Amino acid sequence: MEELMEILEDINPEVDYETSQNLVDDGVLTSFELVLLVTQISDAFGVSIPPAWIVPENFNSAAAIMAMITRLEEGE
Amino acid sequence: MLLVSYEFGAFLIILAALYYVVPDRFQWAVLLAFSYLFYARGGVIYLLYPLITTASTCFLARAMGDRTLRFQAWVKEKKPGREEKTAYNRKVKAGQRRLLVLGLVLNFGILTILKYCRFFLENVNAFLGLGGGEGAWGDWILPLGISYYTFQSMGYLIDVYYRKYEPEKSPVRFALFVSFFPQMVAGPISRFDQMRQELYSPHRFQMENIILGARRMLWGYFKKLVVADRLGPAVVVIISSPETYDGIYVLLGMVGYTIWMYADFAGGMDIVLGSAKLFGISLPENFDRPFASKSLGEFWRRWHMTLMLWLREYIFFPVSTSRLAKRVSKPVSKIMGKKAAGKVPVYIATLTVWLVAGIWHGASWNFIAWGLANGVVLLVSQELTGCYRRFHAAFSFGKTRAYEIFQVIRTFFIFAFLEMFEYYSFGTVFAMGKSLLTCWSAGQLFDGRFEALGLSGADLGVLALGVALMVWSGFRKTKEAEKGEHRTFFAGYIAVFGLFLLVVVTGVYGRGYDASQFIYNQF
Repeated sequence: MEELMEILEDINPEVDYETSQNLVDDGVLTSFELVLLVTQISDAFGVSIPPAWIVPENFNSAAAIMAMITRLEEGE
Repeated sequence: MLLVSYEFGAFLIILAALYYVVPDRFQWAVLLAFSYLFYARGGVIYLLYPLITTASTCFLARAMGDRTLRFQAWVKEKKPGREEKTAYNRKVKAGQRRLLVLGLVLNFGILTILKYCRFFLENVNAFLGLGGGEGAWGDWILPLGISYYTFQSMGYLIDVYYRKYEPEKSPVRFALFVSFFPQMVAGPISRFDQMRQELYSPHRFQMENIILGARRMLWGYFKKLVVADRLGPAVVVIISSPETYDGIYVLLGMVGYTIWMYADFAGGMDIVLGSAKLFGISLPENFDRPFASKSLGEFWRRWHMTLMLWLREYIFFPVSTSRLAKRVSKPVSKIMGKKAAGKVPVYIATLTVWLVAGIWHGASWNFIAWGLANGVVLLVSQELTGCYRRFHAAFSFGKTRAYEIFQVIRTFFIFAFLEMFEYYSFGTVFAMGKSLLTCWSAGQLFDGRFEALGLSGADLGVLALGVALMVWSGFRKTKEAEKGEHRTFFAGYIAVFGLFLLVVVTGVYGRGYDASQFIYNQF
């Protein structure tokens, strides 16, 4: 989780990722930032995020992103 | 059939009468029959194209869905280990990918041949020095709305490939999704999972839907007949002679063209969404007060929203996560570091999206230049995000209302300036920009050129009223969204009556300009 928080803060340091629950739905993360996030997650965690997984439910909060990474690591 | 015609009014009344009389389970079939009737009014032969798209998309999606079901049944029965399951899934996916590619090639192939063949041949001939390039290819007439229903159907096929939802089994039911009459000609481009419930569920007659639909349609006719069709001819005069209309007229052309296009396209969308609402069907919105945007990125999230969402979902994300993007990033990583390499997929995907957006708008180098110019401005703006953040942190006026208004006006002019690429070459755009900045004088408005635009004092008064009403409507929507206020049912009747009077009294009818056509129909 710590590693993910570092990535998120690097992308946009102005967001409170501990409490934000609608990062995509509220437009806090733009499409550009979403792709930067996907690229950095892929590098850092060694997972490949399919385009179909880039949906608000998977990126609306730090917890949701972490849950998605875990699912990918488990080979779902 | 045209949305601005008495015939369309009669069509809606007959359809509504039938729709609310037949048993619930036949309502969608009535809509389909009338949708084909609507489309066939332009020539029965043109029905062939949506029929091919419907049949090919439906059967390929079904074949993909069957493979997914077989895979899921196999997993349930065999309870395989992770490796065995992944291997079998990979095999299933490979088969499904072949079906997807077949569907994409067939449908985008038809679109490409009909829409871009002439452009392609002209360019090949020009390159080879043969000249011409027209002839049989050039005489083909583009079926109405082909870009819209092709994109919508291909979005569905990709969604089924990604297993986002199960495909529709019945080709007849699916045909309504491809051909629903209000949206078939100019969008909005919808997703099947959003529309399934809307299209196939029974809808009981509700006066509220009729009032909401009629009010929305009248608001659309107001934008189209009162504002767009009054402004259009004057704007065409300015943009067709950039050598005559320089200086302050460049500004007038930019502002006028932007307002014309918005009133025309958003007006058309209001008519489309209002027509669907008469049948209790809610279509996705295509505009969300775009001129309140504070940046070009935000603007494109609020203008032609369904096309932008389509491009984001089916091009931006797949391209940015593609192997090609990763492959290109690798050498960049070695030379410029990991952070710069991380941006490569964003750059590739953004430019691809805007190249496609440009080509989608029309078969010409101007549209390609317009698309790429938008992509470059968005990327530059993205690169400057850090600077903006530091600026806002250092200066408190960056958070004031006045600065927000400045951002809104700046965004309007960036959009309006980029629109010029749709009509002019790079050289002309920059010459016009220079002319605007260097030979600017209010006196130019009184040297006879303004009179040549054909706008009387009354026209200008009505236009001012129209624009003021559109701005007021935008503010009202913001207030409604913020405070959850809604107009009462009685206010709905008054709005319908008032709008009807405004359209009848101030609408433009037959001024040597085809009022029935919408700019966005040509796409």
